[in-house]
Amino acid sequence: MQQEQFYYDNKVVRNFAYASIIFGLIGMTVGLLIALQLVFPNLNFGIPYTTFGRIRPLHTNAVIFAFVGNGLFAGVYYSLQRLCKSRMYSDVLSNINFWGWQIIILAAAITLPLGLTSGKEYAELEWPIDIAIALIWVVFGWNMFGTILKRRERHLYVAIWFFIATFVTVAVLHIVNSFEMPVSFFKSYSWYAGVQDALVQWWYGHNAVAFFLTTPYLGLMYYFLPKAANRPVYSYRLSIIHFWALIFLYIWAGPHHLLYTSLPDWAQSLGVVFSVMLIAPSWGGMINGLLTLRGAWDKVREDVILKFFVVAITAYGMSTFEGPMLSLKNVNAIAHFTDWIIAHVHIGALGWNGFLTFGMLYWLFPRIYGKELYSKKLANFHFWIGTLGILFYAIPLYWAGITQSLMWKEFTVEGYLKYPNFLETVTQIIPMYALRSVGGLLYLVGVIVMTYNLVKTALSGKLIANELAQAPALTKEYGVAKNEHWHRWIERRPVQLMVLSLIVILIGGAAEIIPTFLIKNNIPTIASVKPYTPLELQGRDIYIREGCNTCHSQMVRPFRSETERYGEYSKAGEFVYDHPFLWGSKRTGPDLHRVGGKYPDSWHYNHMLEPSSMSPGSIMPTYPWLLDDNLDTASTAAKIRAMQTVGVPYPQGYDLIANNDLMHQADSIKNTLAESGIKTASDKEIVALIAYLQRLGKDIKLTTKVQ
Amino acid sequence: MNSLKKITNKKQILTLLFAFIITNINAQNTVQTVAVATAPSMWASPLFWVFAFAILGLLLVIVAIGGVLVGLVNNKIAKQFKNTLPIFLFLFFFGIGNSNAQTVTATTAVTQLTGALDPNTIMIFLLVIGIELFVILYLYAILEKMLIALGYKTKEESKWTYAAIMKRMTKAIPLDREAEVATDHNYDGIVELDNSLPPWWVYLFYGTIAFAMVYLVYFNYFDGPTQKMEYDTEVAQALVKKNELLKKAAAAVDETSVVVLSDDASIAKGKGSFVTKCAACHGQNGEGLVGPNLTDEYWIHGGGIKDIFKTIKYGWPEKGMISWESQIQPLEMQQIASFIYSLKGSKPANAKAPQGTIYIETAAVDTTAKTAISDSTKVL
Repeated sequence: MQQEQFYYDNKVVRNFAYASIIFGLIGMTVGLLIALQLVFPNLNFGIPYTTFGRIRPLHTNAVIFAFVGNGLFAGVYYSLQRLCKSRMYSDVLSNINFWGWQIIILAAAITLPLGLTSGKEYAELEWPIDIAIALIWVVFGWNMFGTILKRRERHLYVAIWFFIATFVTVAVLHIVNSFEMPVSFFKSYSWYAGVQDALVQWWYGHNAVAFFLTTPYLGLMYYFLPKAANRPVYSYRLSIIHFWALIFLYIWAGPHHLLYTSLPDWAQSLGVVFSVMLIAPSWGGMINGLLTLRGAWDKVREDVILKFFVVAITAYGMSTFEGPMLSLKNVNAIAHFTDWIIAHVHIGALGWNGFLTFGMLYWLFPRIYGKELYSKKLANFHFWIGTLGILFYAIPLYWAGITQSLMWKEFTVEGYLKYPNFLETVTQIIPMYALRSVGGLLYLVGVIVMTYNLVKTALSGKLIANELAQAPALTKEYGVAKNEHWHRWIERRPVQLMVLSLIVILIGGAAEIIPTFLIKNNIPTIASVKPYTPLELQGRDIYIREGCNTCHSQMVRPFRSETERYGEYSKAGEFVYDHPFLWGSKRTGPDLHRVGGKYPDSWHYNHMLEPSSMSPGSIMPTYPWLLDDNLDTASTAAKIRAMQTVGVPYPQGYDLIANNDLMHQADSIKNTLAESGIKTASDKEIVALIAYLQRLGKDIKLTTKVQ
Repeated sequence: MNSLKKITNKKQILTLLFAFIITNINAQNTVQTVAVATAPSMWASPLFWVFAFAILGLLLVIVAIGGVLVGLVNNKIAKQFKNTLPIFLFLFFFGIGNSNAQTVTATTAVTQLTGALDPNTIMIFLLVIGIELFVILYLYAILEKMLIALGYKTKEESKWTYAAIMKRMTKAIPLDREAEVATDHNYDGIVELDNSLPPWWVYLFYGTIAFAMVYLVYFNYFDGPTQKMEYDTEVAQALVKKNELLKKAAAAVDETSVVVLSDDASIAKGKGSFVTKCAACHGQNGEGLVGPNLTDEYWIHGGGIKDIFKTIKYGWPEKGMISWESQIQPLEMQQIASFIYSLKGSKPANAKAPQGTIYIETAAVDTTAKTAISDSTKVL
């Protein structure tokens, strides 16, 4: 057979690898900063751009899409070329993919601290960036498919199945969830409202975990683990079953983020059972990885790369067991909104994604630079300090989460909340927050050491930018082996494989989303619920801009401990004008859905200026700029029009007169503030925010509790 | 060993087992009486009987194995011990058969199946069954070990050693026989084996699928409680408890019956609560900050003890005073109100200018009481 010579492109791999390292350092440093802010609220430095609500999304975006994102591109670009025995389809596309992705990250790093956000978790970026992401993702898919189509290997290896599923699913998720109505170049409203928005968001959010953090990394595991261990993959059959089962079942599990909320019961049930059914397919990946090490465990003792892989796979196994357990409603009732969830996701992020990336980088650098790793000792140090970091990170947060949840729920014998003041439950766990920061610091130190080690390795060698390889071209005719496994058929047909995985992932999403949108009794209407006034709408946008929803939920669950603390539990019909929904996923501070009318305007004013003046010991940051900055009333008309487009029933032509109503309402708030001795102009942002907060949850209060 | 050989009589073993069964029937009776006494509604639920029989059946198996173990230890049982295994199996399936029979009757009356048992009881039953199964496995493992130790069985014969179970549950092929499961796949030097799916994993998968089916059917087609039903139950239970407590005097203080407490201990307690809960708005000494001055003669909502109590309890949200009803117990509220009452004329530093009208004690008492009553009904 005629051998063809060709070159693997290592340069793009190196670029992505470096980007992953750099953004890893940045993302984790921001993570450390916000962890410390929970202990020392002053660390927001009194300016908007470093305040928790704005940079927590920066941390999550940087770590997920920049650190892990670049890591997955590096791994995919390296392994795909070798598994297809072909250079990437197009160097131009590779470069567009690389630079495009970095520009997107840069745009995120600028816009998020500026408060330009859609308010949807892990999808915060505004619509122009969303479009850019979609385009670059398509470039990636195009480049990948081009490479697959010109491959010199007849069959697609399991890693590539995972890459293909990643590509199609992330595309679908991103596009559907990012449907939004632009108001201006930097502002948009989600197309969906309330319960529907929540369902779509967590269908996306959960599957961002599934198809951005899990499936591509499983693909990488299937390449780098057997390579590093030099052992055969344990079971081909297991690969097939766990691949198809995983992608089919995963897509259904989103509603487990919305248990005990206003989401219809049937959708919650689906979220529960599909999460539970996910244990085995997830563990299929874990055992196929760990059993691949059969006969190589003596090597694990010696080889730091394998150590990283083993911890990564173990962390994967732990969090994919914990996830289904958290999806059981009785466990979820305790864990949801607490730091338990933060601990859970960090087992996945630090353990699975982090350690797999590190192992991969330690494996890649010596190979693309043709030089031994600079220091095995430092790599070992990184492994141990990283592992220690994970433990120090997770254990205090498990402790904190369970402690706080039990405090929230505890009643005295007289039937009163034992800790009616929410703040008590926060101050109780601050020492745990401090310990968690120590864990984060240890982990970050490890990454810094790795960076040094890898840079040293790179400097001592020279990049093999184009690595020579050879393989015979594929012939048109080929014999099908007798008794070949039925699955081999589709492994020869990448397009069919893509289409089939697309169908498989569409089923679950469609089954949950379509009925929620079409069947009316899923969201019973409440006549007294009215659209926000223009001032409240502006206030709501400030709430979104400052990221209040990162720490405050707006979802009173139907538990006595919550209705006693906050008021009537939240009803689906109350959110029909919420574009986007702001239920939140974490209660670092109390729920705000029923805060309207609970405190006087003056309380909110003083509280925003200095939270600890109204709640001594509060860890909420100060928001002095809200008192000084003028409200941008020029945007009101466009906002009203955008809301009308997405279906909010403002009267025809209301956009033109909305500012009159706005000023009227602002003046009345100015007056009540003046009565309490607070002098402010009515065109300040704080006035709009107070208007919004005072409206929250009140529409049904009016009917049920007239005082 | 000799003594073991002597006792080969199967009849003896059978007698032994029957003795156990009879003792168990007695146990059954006691269990049932307890159940009747505490929760008579359980009787109506076929599910209760399924559980009860399953639990008893398993208990029989435990006792039987235990009995055999005791027999072995006492060297009273024959060498051909294996012959008794069918009896175990019979007993085991007898236990399960019972519960199966019950399931059949249960499904005919499917509407009654779930209603009568509350989820906690079901959980407890399941837990008991789980423990029993564990004990059975454990006893069986001991039995196996003893049989091997006493020479009735060789290690290779046993299916229940750790190694044997692991082998069955993983179906792993020894490393040196890997070639048998090799495939011809080779991707960039990565080769693939085609080991069987580990049976434990397959069972796990089937188990979760079964769980999913039962869960969906129970919660969406039968009367599995919705979250609203759960909430209503929780609140109703709390209300019953609260009403019982309200009958006690201290907890029953309300705006109609509250009187000024003047003893030092009460005032001190009231002050303590005031500092932590009220001072943020009214100042450390009641001099007024965001909220009004509480030390002068001017009151916005009345300055009698009943007025103050009522203001604390229900608040005046439109004026900025929040309701503390859900956070402060009546006695503590009475102490705080008394402390505030005691502040009159204390003239603290930085006192806020007076707000409201001058309050004259006697005139307002009756009207206050009336408004309080009407208000409390409104809130309720």
